[in-house]
Amino acid sequence: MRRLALSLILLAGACVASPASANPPDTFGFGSRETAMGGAVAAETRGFAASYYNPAALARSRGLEVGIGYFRADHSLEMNGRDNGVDPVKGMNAGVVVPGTLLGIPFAFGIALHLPDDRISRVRALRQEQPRWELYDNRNQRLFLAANLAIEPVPWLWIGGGLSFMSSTRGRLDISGGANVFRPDDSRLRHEVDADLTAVRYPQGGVRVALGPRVALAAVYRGEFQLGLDLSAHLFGDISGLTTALYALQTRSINNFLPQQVVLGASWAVTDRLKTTFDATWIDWSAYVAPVARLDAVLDIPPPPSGWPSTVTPPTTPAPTRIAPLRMYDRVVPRVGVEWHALGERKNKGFLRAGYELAKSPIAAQNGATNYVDRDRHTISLGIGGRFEDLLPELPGALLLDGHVQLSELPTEATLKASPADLVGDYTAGGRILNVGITAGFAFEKKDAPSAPARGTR
Amino acid sequence: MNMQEPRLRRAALPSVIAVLSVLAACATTGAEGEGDRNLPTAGVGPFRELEAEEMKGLAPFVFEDPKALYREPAVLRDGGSTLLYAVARVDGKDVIVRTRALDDRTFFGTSGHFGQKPHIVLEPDKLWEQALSGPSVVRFRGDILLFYSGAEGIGLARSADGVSFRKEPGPIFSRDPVPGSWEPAAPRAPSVYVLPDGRLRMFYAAGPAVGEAESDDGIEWRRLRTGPVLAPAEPPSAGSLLPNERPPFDGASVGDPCVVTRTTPAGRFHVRVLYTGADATGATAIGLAARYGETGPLVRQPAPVYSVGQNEAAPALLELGDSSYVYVHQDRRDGNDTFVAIAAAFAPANMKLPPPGDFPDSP
Amino acid sequence: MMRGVLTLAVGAASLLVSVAAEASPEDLFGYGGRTSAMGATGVAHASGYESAWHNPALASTIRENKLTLGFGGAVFALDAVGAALPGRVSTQPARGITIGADIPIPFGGKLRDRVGIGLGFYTPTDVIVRGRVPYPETAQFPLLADRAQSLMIRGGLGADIGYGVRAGLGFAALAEIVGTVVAATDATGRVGTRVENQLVATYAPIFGLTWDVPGSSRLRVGASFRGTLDARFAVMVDGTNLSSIAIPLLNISGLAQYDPAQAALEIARVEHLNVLAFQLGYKKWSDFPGVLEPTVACSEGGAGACGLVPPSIDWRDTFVVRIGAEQGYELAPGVVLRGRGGGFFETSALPADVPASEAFDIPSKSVVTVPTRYFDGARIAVTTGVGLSLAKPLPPVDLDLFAQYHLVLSRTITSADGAGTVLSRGESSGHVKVFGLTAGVRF
Repeated sequence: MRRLALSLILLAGACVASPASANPPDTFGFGSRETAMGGAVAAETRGFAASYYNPAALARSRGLEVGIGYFRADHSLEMNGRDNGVDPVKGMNAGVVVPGTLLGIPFAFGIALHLPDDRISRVRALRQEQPRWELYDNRNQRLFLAANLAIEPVPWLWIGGGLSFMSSTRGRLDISGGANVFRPDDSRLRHEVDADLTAVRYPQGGVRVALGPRVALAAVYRGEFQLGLDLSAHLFGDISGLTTALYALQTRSINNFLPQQVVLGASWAVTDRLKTTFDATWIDWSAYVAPVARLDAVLDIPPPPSGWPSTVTPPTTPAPTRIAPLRMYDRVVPRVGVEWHALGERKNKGFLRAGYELAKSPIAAQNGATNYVDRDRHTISLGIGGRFEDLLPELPGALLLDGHVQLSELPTEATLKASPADLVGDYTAGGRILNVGITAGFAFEKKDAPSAPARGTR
Repeated sequence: MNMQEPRLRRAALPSVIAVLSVLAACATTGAEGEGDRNLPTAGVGPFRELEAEEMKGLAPFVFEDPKALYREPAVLRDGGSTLLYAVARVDGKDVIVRTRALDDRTFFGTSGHFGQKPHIVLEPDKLWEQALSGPSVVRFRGDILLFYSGAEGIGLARSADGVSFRKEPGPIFSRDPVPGSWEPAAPRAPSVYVLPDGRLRMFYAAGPAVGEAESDDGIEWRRLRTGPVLAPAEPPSAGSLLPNERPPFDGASVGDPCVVTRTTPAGRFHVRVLYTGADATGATAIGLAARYGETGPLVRQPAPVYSVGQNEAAPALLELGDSSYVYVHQDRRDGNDTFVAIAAAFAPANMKLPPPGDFPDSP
Repeated sequence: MMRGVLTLAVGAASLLVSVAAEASPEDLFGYGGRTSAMGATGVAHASGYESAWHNPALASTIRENKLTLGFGGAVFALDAVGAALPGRVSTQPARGITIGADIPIPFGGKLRDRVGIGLGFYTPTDVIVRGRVPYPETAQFPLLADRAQSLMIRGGLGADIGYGVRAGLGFAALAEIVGTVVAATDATGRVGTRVENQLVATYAPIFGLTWDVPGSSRLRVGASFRGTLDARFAVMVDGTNLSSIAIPLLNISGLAQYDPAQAALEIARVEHLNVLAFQLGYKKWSDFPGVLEPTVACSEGGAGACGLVPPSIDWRDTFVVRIGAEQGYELAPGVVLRGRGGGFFETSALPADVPASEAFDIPSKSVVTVPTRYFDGARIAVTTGVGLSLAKPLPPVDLDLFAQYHLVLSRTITSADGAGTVLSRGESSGHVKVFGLTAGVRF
């Protein structure tokens, strides 16, 4: 009773805090076992995947654990029945858990990394009217890097937390010289750059409570994060001897805004071989900042003394963008998972897994000028896994191999424009996403004391 | 240990190696991004001018002659080719000519098509006409109907083949006789379309605004409302414009309507009207106004869909499914001289066209 | 037309803000609370996470898990004195956080206690990376100040092969920018820029070997090689299809970070409480392409085939000599205090004569030559520090404190044009003060 009360207090405390961000793992999972269980693993995760799903669970590991995996998620997202070519998300997931004991308390340190094949991050500047799959087009094209610590102060309680890392940018560009518009190769231009990539660190934390040998509860917080882009540009030059041009601008925008999340989870070992899990994630989408740049510009191009040539259209200072607000709604995303120990005993075991997730679209209907396209997403996951112990005397521990297939369906619906003069007009949108991946890991047994100290200085 | 275990172990280690070997470029390729293919569009721009490598002759002019002064285009799809009807100056009179292109941009009889001229389909031979202008073509009950403007209103000519036309004797639509009507002059610049139930609808210019009328047979027309369906834009209220934001491009007049209908992907009947908008300085641009359904006022798009500062006017829209052309007349500079010619623009603006095809054998 | 060019500039700027900075602080100051106090030696004696920089082979000596957190900084006082020179060159101090992890791999059998991993992570506190590529006539120390402002991730795996030999390999990772800005009509048909700005990873390998000299229980020889680590920003700004006006293709590129390929050979006497090390190092700065790149990408021949071309500087390979020592005192059971000291001397990669650069003078509408005001000098550094190691019955904590003083030796650097006319002559000098504190917990 006292354990339960303390658990509830801790879980309640866990629910108060931090904002969170969406990451590629939010959409596609992290680790094949967890992905196959629908991501409903806040109370059940362990190993390197715990760095994402619940840092507290890092302390469940008793020996060094390393894991590495690869996945690819292909998008078949369509508007008006035609594929939009949304880039696949593919890359490596990896991590390490280093457990130990500190002052008699089990303790662990974990690092987790999702590294896309093609890039660390991508920024795209699009006009707000341009249709795009707002939650799939570019937001998942980035690195996820987190470092966490966890402790197990009492045998039924795990607490953990850490930081994830990303960056904002600010900078200044200067181009000067002479542009020859009749023979461009004869232009005499130089550039100067002064830019900073500033550190952004956002927190995550978690708690896991075992109510008994078969039931566990968990709560996780993930922090809000914004990738800001502040820049100024200055261009001053001569235009083929006709006139000079001065253009100065200041722009500010938010890219890749990731809202905060709170996850409540539970796991129940129904039998010795069957485990079920459930998660509910609240996502603070209503705090979303539209990714449209605010622009202030000054343009000064005196007309040539003899007037503009007939083939030249006199330039004008661009008008600022009237930014249409992007309305989004908070959502609760339920997830369920199941794992069945299907084969084997003792040293070699086989598992079958399945899961389901329902993520209703948080974006308000795009009836106005903007086109941040999104639809509800139903995701079904399946997976298999194996655990092989003591393969070699040199490998004291268990080899873990897991695979997953995840299919997301976004039912097609119509978007009706309020204005008949909208240049995009009514459209239908929907599609599916197929995510396939494998993960390999090794969980070493708890380390004995070294047989001999190394010849070093400590 | 059972017999399965050694096999499992042997399989497990290569599997690990396979996993490690799929570690790919690890964020090094910086591959090009996509996500902007086949984006939806209402099919009415914004348009970009054709470029030099997309056409014969001087871009963006597809039909030009410094003497004929081709203007006020109207287009009609005919199988695999595009028919273009336009006003031309021939022997001192304004007539309506017809030409054709196989690739929508290489028209028979343009100035680069040496020795060839388009076919004259209509000449002013009635007292009420004086000069012909504002052609509009539509297929109706097996015929091609050619509506046009004369001095006293709008006339009609029919054809089975689009080449030989028979005129109605008088104007089929004249100035509104009702006292106090909003129409300060005779209607002109008609654009006619067919409703799903077979009725005809016409948008027309009268003074600085656009009106709407309906007919069952193309001969007898009745006005649909007592006021214009599209009027010049209201001036902006004080302080409502952002810095560097310009006032409406169509605050002085709207005219030259060109209507094309469609059914949206969501199943709504969509009436889209391109028009010429002019501001107080006389500068023109091509605008868009539209509505859902068969009746009701037109809602305008605040920004023009085609604006190049060359006195562009009289749009004609050709829809080709995923893309569309707009044909306008605009100033064409030739040394120190300027004359009007028909130019073409294309949407979606980020799509490239293949090189131009050959001239057709006949107009 | 100008709107198009200026639109391009905006787009280019939005890409360039994500640029990585110049060379690494490890290359300037060393890495780790212990070895930084020992003249930045360590190829033959580094331990734990510090082996990820010095010599990954030494990761095989890791026996306990350990997590280290550190904080350090550097303050620059760099001077360029002469006509039209600022005197004190403005340079921001560098501050950064170090995170290190020592991870022994608990293989069994014949591999027991033979393999370890060292992970090192350095991030400046206020910026992850700084990219500064000023115009060449701006007085600057291109090889010093901004090189200290970069995030670095390093990892190394080491194995004890036997017969006194250890081998290791590792990597260093940086981010670089690739991108395109195409100013044309976008999908809505309006003139605008489509900006694609991507951070991609760039890697450099590091290999290391150590050999415990037979017949001596104390002597060890270490060798390491680090591949070139460079991070460019490369953004092509394309407005050629924007309008009827011909706009040149803009190559907004430059080298924001550069660590040259380098090799080091070190011999050390390594005992439980006593270390003495001597190192010779070589850095291949002659491969350094310079920070500047041409702005105009020519229609034939690409960037550099026309327009203003940055000066070609004869960067020189450098040598570095290091010495380091450590002496420990067991004050009580489980309490060891270590005093450290050392120093190094590194030659400068910048030649004394630097060619002038080209610029376009708007009032006269002509190309003029401007001086290239790059400054640098050989450095002598003195390092010192203390360390406190606690073990049972006390908490298993290691604390290390270090400080370094670098003196940039005075030298005269001139910049002359092709005819030999000296456009700038300046005296460069200065000093850098570096400090740091790390705390590690073994578990």
